[in-house]
Amino acid sequence: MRDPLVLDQAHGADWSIYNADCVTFAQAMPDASVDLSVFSPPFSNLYVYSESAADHGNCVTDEEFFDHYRFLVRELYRVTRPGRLCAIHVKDLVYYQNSSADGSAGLRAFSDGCTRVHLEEGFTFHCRITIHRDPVLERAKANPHGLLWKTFQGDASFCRVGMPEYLMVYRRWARPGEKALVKPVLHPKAEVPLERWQDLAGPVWRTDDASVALTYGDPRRAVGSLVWNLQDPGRGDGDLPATDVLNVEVARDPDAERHLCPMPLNITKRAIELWTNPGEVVFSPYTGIGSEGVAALSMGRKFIGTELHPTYYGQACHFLDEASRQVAYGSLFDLLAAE
Amino acid sequence: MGDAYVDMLARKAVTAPQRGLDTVPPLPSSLSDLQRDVTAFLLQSGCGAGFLDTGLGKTRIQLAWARVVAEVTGLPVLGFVPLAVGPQHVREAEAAGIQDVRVVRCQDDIRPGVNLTNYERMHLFSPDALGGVFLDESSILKSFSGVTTRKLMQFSAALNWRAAFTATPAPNDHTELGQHSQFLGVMDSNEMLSRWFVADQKQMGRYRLKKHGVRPFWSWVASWARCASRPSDLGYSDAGYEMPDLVMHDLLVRVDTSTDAGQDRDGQLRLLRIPGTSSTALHAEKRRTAEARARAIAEPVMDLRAEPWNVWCDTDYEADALMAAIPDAVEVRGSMSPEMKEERLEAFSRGDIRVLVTKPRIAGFGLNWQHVAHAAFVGCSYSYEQFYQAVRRNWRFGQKRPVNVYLAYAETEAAPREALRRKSGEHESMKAAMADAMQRAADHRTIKHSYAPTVRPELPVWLRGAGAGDCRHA
Ligand SMILES: C[S@@+](CC[C@H](N)C(=O)[O-])C[C@H]1O[C@@H](n2cnc3c(N)ncnc32)[C@H](O)[C@@H]1O
Repeated sequence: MRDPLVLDQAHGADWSIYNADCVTFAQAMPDASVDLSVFSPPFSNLYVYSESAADHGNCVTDEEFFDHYRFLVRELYRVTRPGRLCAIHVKDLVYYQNSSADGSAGLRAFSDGCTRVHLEEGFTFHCRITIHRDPVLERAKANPHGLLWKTFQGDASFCRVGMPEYLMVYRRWARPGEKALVKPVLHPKAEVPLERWQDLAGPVWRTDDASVALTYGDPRRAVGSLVWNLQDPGRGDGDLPATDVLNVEVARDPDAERHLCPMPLNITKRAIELWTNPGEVVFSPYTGIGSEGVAALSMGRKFIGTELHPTYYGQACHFLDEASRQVAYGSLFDLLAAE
Repeated sequence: MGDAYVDMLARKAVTAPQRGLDTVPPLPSSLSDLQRDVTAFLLQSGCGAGFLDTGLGKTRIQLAWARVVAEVTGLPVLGFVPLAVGPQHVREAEAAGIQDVRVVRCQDDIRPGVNLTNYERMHLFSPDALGGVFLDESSILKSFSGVTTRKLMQFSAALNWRAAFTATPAPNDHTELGQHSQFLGVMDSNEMLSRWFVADQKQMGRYRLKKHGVRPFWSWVASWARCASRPSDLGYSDAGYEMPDLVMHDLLVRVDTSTDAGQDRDGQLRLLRIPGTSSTALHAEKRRTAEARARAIAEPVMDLRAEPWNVWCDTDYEADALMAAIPDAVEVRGSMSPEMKEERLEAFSRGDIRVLVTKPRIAGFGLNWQHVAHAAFVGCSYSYEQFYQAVRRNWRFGQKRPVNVYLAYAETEAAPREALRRKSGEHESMKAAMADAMQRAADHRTIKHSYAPTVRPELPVWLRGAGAGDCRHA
């Protein structure tokens, strides 16, 4: 094995993160040491995070991305405890007329490409959770031809629906002889009520609760055809805190070409709740500013992560430190209350 | 398996090896920040190119570069420059406080420091006792024969220090970029082609950049060259580098298409001459219209009697027609001796000649004629590059007046005029892609770096691995 060096590292009692290339680092992680991986990979070359050759987002084509990603998935399979899961946050990607050879435009099935790589490296396809995204927000942000009122009237054959995100979940089954390593994830009836399970079993998860941010009677409270085109294209509903995420603003890197798209905290928490026991190890190879870590620590799990970009890594250190302090403070508070 | 990943990363970040100095000695204080940065970059890379548009200080950069190379190698450096450009360099060296710069005519003249000679004299030199070589206006390679270019490659191959300087390359000009990368020993031009270019079936297999190749290609170029058409391309202020207007005057020459109409395929006599688009047909048409075009040019040249003029042509018969139509014109022709050419070009630089008639391939490169604000092209050739270079003799930083360019072409020659227009548009968009890559490269914080970690990681004690127990890190 190659020398698993890193650029930098930081540790707390329940977390360790490394400013490092995830593949090189994962190659040095022990077998079956991770109970759940949950993360968002770079969406192919949608965002290039840095000019580093090791940056998986710094690729020319989707194929090149998958070539890189495969190296990570191979290690993920090895480090995942038999019988446990790997949940990735992805979406499909659009391509435009001017970049296609034949003048067509449409979608690249990026999430399916990820599935292909996971299957080829040994995982099974476990389930797909759709994360609802408001088409009005998408319209306001990017003005895609397929989401315009004008298109709907002019030639609706070009109309598409809004682009959801997915949590694609893959399972590493125990192979013969690995039975002893399997550890069930338990949800005792006394602790988790039926309604919670029914909620978690829904195939569509939401990142937003727009009603929190909007006054009663604001037409945007409802999502769907009623709010369609209430505003002029481009004016946007971007002011809505539509998603439960860490503050990206503080992590905005002046050099980064486009800024980071953080993983929704509540989605991550649902996955951690559903698929891990307290105290278990959660891994995010593309840690970014640390969303998955913050979610894991807040739920009493341990976190290990790698992030290549030094600025994001620094921000993740800060957020994780803060999160573990809050957890400690919270349990102190519980302790006092119990007395 | 780990090595497969390393290989993949290495493949991804194709950059030119840095073969030069780790630390660059202090450079002359007369250099601007931009000039200092480019010089330092070229010294660090050892073999690199400066694609800098006229007026950004190529001359100073190459002289400063050559001076340092002479210093660190302890051997003289030889620079090839276009005809008549040598003395201009010597004057510039004096102004910039760079010592030991001289023009030489053969190997025996070479002295320590920086030596300059014409490309035409290459056969009188040998690379043996040299520390390095540089090319001024290296685009000129394209107007030389393949033999000359090959000789130049051979001449330089043994030298560790090489640099080439020219204006920003012409649109999609893979030939030029490939020649440069090969001359500099960065990458073979064929390899460059197969990596980033595709042969366009619609354009008779002409190579063009792959769509997804644009960004990585220019990133690669940025690893061995610095390109700029204005200071802001490399992150510097454009203040003081404003370009005057360029005013194009099309002189459309009416032609009598009822003469020489020829016959059509069935032998029927045609009423009107229909110009073909093949190059033989174009040449025939050009010959027919040469006199009329020369007369069209002579008119403004004689009207603005107090103005110096650059009058450009592509062929000797056009030159003859111009010489007949403009009484005080002086010609520099390919068949003249280098001495005679040089003498006349210098005389025009001094202002002793009012109207200079010559071809872009003879005098279109390297000379600074800011005192001239009027240029005329007696015809429109398909070479955008030569046209652009010729215009740049006058239209450059330091030119205080708007530059008027007169372009005479016959009605029957609209196609090359259109091609010229299209190519100039392509040039602009290519410059934008290039400038973009340069900014990325010039900004040291975002330079495409290879992954070089140095810290030994500690794994947390709780990261044990379910099966292995503690054996992995007891
Ligand atoms: C979609 S973002 C993840 C954001 C993260 N989930 C959050 O909420 O902060 C992908 C991240 O992967 C990082 N990255 C890209 N290539 C990497 C590599 N080879 N190793 C580690 N991190 C990498 C990028 O710098 C970027 O921060």
